[in-house]
Amino acid sequence: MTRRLRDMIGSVLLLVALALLGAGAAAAADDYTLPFYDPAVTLSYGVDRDRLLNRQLDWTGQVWNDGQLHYGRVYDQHTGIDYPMPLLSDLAAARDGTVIDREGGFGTQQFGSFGNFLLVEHPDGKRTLYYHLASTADGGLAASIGQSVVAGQRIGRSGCSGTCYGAHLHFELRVWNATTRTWNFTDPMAERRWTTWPGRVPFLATYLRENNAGTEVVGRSKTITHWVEFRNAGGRTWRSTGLPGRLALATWKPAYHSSPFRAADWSAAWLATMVDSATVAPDGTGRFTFGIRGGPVPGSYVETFNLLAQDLRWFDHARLGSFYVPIVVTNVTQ
Amino acid sequence: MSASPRAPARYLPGAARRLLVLITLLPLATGLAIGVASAEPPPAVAHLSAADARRSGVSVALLPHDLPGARLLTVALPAASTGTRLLAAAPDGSSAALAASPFSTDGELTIAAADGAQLRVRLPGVSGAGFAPEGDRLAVIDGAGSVWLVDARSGESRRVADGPFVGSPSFETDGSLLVLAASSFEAPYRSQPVLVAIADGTVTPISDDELVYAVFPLADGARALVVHEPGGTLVKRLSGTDSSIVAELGPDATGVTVSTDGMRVAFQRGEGGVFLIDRPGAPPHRVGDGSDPTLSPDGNLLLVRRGASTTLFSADGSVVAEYEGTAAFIGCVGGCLP
Repeated sequence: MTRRLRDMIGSVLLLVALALLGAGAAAAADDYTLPFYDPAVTLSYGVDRDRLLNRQLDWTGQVWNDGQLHYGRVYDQHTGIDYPMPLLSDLAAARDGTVIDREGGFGTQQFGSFGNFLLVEHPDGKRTLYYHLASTADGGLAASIGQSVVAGQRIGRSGCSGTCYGAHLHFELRVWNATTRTWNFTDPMAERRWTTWPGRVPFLATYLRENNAGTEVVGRSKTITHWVEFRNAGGRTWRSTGLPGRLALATWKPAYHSSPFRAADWSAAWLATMVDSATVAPDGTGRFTFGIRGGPVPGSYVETFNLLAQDLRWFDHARLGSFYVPIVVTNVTQ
Repeated sequence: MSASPRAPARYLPGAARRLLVLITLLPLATGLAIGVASAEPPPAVAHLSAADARRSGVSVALLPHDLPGARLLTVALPAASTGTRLLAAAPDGSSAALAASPFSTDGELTIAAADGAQLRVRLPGVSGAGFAPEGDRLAVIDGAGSVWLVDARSGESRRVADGPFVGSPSFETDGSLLVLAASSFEAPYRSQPVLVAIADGTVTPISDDELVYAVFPLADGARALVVHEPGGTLVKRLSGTDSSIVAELGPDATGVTVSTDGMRVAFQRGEGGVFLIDRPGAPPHRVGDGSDPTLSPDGNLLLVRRGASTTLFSADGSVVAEYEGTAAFIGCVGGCLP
């Protein structure tokens, strides 16, 4: 074998090894979702994976030796991910866990060395830190110490307390280092800790189709079957059982109102149905099948529904295409 | 598998050899980068005479006040200086350190002298400062969390240690700085009191507490630590390695200040006003509305910020005086220990 050939084989083997490593990293998926609900929010600065002053290593692997801010990537010595968002935006637990520490005494926009935060410990032994929160008085902390929270549960509101130059959430993933016996930050972006890549907000859906996208006509006291399908555009798997969090189709405008179209298969006057499948993974399609009963006097009606992660969070109705069902109740009874 | 004597390093495949070169060069390149960083030019200094400051509309007026048992320095800022913060005052009242609004882009530390002259030191994002007992030097923490030693007369500066550090540094009698070393400058969930040697930047922790919001030198050589714990904020007395709880302030207590005898504690509770604890074990009583309380060295007077003005309270809660702008106690605060 010539030296040139040996070199070529070596290079190919090295490339294959690097490609396999890269693929492994890309395939790795953990159980974290973005710690807020607005899908329009994107990161401003990620973790600096390098501890040297004036040298930054971002989540893509790019290195800078300038100590400067690089929007969308990193700033020097940054230990978390910054997500700019309006003041008092709702924040979500990134994963199931227990609140183990909190501070809410600083003003919502009080500049200083320290700010308001929540610290959540997760079953995998990691911790997530939510920093710069609004004050207790402004509802910045919606979970108390010792309280169990589930992924996607609202735990607080954003603020600008501490060293903050504009309202944002500083989200930090912390891991225990048994050697140094300290909690150290890690990079959920570089480590692909999200349930999906890229990371997504916990609850989001887009409208796909209905069995009848027009007006449903139902006779007085009669029941027809209607179904609607939504795509799971969020990061959490939908499930049909278990509280809190089972995925329900419920009345909207106003929320939880008693529907005059409640059929026998409804669980409650406001609760039309759960998602038909036991689970719907992100990007999957969830169908919701429910009866519509011609309860009210004959006439034209509109009944509005929204998706609900029950006991956790209503979905953004506008992003569901403001889903509603036009219904005509007739005098036909047979 | 052990290395084969038949495969010496010169026969490594080309790609692997290139990788080896990279691995060898990386620490060298990193070392060079650090060398470059340590050889950084010192922060630029601009000198403004009192006349220059007047002409530019940036005059800062320092006015000392003698009070029973304390001295006070009021600081009148120019009208257009929204957001400028008083960081520290020299113990003799000869100068004050000010930081621009955290949202401004000029990124300067201002050292305003009593005669009206100013030094503008190009240190962006300064968050805390403390004067030496003689008032000739001050230690400041910049926007990256590094601690600097600044000559109060010339503005010449040198970086003492990288950090990140947070809070307001104070000078110790042994030539070190008492400051908080943090896990992160932006979101410090962990911050511990440390001594930083001015000579070589060596950092020595003095407490195992995880999240310390402030540390105050006490007159007897002990220190008061303001410690966050999951149940709320505590004030601890630390003497050598002995630690004891002085006061339990409960949740949402911030802006904690301790008198130099360690007996009185004042703090702010959310937006509920300012509270004072007269002695260890006593319940807190509400003094009034306001924020950022500061106790006089003897603990008998309390300064509280109320909007754009500052109110001086006596320990019984009665108002002693009102001042426009900001104010700070001077004299033997922290650094003037025996």
